[in-house]
Amino acid sequence: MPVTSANLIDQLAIAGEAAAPFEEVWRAIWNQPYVAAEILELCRLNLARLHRAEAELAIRMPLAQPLPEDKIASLLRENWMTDQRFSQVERAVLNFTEWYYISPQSIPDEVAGEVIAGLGESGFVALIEALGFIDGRIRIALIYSRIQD
Amino acid sequence: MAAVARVQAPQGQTGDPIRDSALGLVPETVDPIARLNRHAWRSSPVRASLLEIVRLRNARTVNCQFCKSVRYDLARRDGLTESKVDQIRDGYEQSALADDEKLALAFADAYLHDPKTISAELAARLKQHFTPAQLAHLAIALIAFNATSRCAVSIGGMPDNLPVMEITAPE
Repeated sequence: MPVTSANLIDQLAIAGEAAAPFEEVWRAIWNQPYVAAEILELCRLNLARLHRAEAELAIRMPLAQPLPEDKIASLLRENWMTDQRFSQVERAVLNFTEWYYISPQSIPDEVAGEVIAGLGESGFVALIEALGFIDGRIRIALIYSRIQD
Repeated sequence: MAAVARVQAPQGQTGDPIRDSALGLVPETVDPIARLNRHAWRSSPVRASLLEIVRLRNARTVNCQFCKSVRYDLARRDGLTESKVDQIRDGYEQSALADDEKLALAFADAYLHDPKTISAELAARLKQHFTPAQLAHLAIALIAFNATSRCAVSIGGMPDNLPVMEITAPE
């Protein structure tokens, strides 16, 4: 089975005591009340696109309500900036995600400001935590896919 | 990097650097993240100095001033010197670092740059040198170090330089 952010724990449980809190963080970032899991799912798919992570793109996160597939297709065609199905907050978050992927140092104040305006300060922090762990799990899943070969 | 912090840490100090940072604005995640950080250091099948070398490589790549200035006490007690820290830079392959330290740095670099293109040769060496538990722990620790340092940089408001400071690994 391909390694993805969703099943990465199957590979990492062998680490021992750190594995349980690692999974606890994963559940917490998807369940916190400040950023909807459906918005995080858009971010996960956008990060998967940027990483060219085919296995990651093929899954839908069980911790989020399913998104319409035509909206996902629009996201993956990079139409989220103009597609009216994406809310203002979703656009602000996706724009932030792309800057974050390049480098957190490069994020312009106005890009971060739009996220804070839409999600509030706790939502901003919840988002950057989630991006860190989602992106990190995609990265390690890609490495473990090669280690499994 | 944002010169002024984009959000402020909550009032009240607990003494825990993670809980007292802006991450404390999300109480639902801050405790799990603090527990993960504790286990990354206290439950490691990898020696502390090797973990610290990986953490510092991440800190320098992400350019997190706080993370770059910190030295964990466990790592120093395990033999991490500033001379060794100086070698965690581009060109480390030709440094005097030990083979397992260079291999751990290559793992960190694969993660930090383009993980999809990790070479089959490096993947084989990682599997050969580290036990499955050690490699899994290194992966978990690297995700935690990277995610939290990118949080700090995304929030902003860090000074340009900080002196090296030793901190105690969380109990």
